[in-house]
Amino acid sequence: MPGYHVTISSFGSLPSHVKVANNNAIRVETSSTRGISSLAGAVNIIEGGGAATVVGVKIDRGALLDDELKELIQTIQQQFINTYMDFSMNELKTNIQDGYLILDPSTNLMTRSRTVDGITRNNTDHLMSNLNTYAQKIKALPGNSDISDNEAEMIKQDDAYLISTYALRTIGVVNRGLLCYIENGMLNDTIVALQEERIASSQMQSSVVFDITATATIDLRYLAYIRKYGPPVEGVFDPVKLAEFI
Amino acid sequence: MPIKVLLVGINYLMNKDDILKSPINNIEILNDFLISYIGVDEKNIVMLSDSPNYKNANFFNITNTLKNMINSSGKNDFLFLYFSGYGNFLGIPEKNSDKYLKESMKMKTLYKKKNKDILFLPEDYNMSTLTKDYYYKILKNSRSRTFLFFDCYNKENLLNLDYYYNINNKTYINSLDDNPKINDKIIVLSCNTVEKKNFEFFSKVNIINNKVHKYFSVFLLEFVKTLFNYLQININFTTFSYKNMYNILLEINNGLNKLNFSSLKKTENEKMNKGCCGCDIKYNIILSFSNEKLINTNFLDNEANEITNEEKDGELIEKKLTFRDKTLAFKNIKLERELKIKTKRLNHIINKFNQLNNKLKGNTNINFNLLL
Repeated sequence: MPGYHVTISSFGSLPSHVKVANNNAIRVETSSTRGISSLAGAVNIIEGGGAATVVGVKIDRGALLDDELKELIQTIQQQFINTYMDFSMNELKTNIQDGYLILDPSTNLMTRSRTVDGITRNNTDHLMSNLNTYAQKIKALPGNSDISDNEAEMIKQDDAYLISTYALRTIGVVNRGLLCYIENGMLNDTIVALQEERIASSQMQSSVVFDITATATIDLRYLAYIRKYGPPVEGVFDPVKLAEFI
Repeated sequence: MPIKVLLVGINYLMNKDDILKSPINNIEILNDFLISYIGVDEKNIVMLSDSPNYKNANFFNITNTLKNMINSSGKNDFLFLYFSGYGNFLGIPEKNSDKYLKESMKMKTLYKKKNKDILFLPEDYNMSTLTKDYYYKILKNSRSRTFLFFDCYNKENLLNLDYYYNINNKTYINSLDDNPKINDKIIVLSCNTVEKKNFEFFSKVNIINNKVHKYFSVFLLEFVKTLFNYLQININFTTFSYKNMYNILLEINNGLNKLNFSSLKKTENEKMNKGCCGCDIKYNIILSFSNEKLINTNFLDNEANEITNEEKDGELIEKKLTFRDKTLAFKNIKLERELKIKTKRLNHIINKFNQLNNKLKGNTNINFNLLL
């Protein structure tokens, strides 16, 4: 499809197989299928490696975003981007894994989950679900016309389009940041677990584990030995030969 | 006659599970004993250990010190070399055991296959060890009489010298094995034990340096105590040969190998142990020599000293011979003088007799001939 392309290969968390065409929205097309569940903290790229392509449509200057998308972006901004920008990673993690708090009108209580059609889901799941539904809905709309063929034209695009692409990019960035954070946490956990295992196995009795920075040095006489007689058998130097170097 | 001393005592402080408690204390007590009671110059003692107070007892330091000592010593010197620590690796722990898993994760382990040639593990035993061949090579060029003292845990090997006393069997053996020739100036005292509880013990006080509450090697402390007692009576070792040392070692061994009936009364304990030595051998003590003549030499005596003694004896004999000759000559002169006097007297008597005879018989001439 001819048109303007925005490569979003860094969108590890971009909603999968989004391909939209809308007069007052954007169209996002991926060359590969991606799992949206990565936003929930578990990366699930079903088929990776492909670059996603964002294809915009010409939108009248000053046009507003689609209300539904606007609401989704606002929710994402409020629940995820703001916490991310404040570096409240634990809160962000909670929001993603357990859902964020919203007022349930049926019970008039702040809850993290809701039951719809007998299935209990947390609010983040709902948000993901809604995003997918929105994407599918946009996908089903009639085809659009291209807005431009080159980068110069892109700059001239409508504010609304720029905002929408920017918002989508931001979601990807937030998600990527969270993934890095979670991955970092997991690696830290792994390191701690390995350290504990090591400590337990070597029965170290010290209650404090020190980080030791050491410089490895080797006596030149060992090097002279290796040069003359080759590497020692089973790592143990022949004492008679080694004594020659004194 | 300088006595040059190398004391090596390694506690293996880097190996947490298998730290020995006594070797550092051993070299300290031996150092005090040699200085205070034998009169060794402090400058001639080198102490190597893994204690931060001393130079490291790694392979290169030990070898370097040994080579320097040997190269700078002659017939006038006596080398005293003491090694305390692990005599060998501890073998391989059983697979699937906790020890095996734990040791397999360590960078350094003492649990390696035993090597029959290893005599001593230096501090950096993972790089190299002190083997029989090593000692042969190092001691081969020694011009000094050398006393090697191995006081090690888990040491089963010997420096194969041709003549040795087996203290447990109370036997003297002249080995017919084709052992490599070292040199004829080496004496080796070696005490081996394979149970850690028998290697070292906690001593509240010792008579040598009065350092209290420390672990010491069981054998070393007994050995030093015995030498100390000997010195109390004899002042020095000028009449203490290695044969005497054998007798002392026998006594020490009998004491060490006694069974432990400490729960019984003293008299009953002695009764139980009577005639029972050797049935529970804990220590394997060997005193060996590279030359049979060394057995009758004195402890801590160097070769030059003995040559001087021989020379001294020679001078004495010469003096005695001269004295005897002079005496004989004197006696001879005395006898000759007596003979002259007696001849004179006899002639005088003959003259008198002739005169008297002439008076009695007138002019009758009677001739007396003296048969001399």
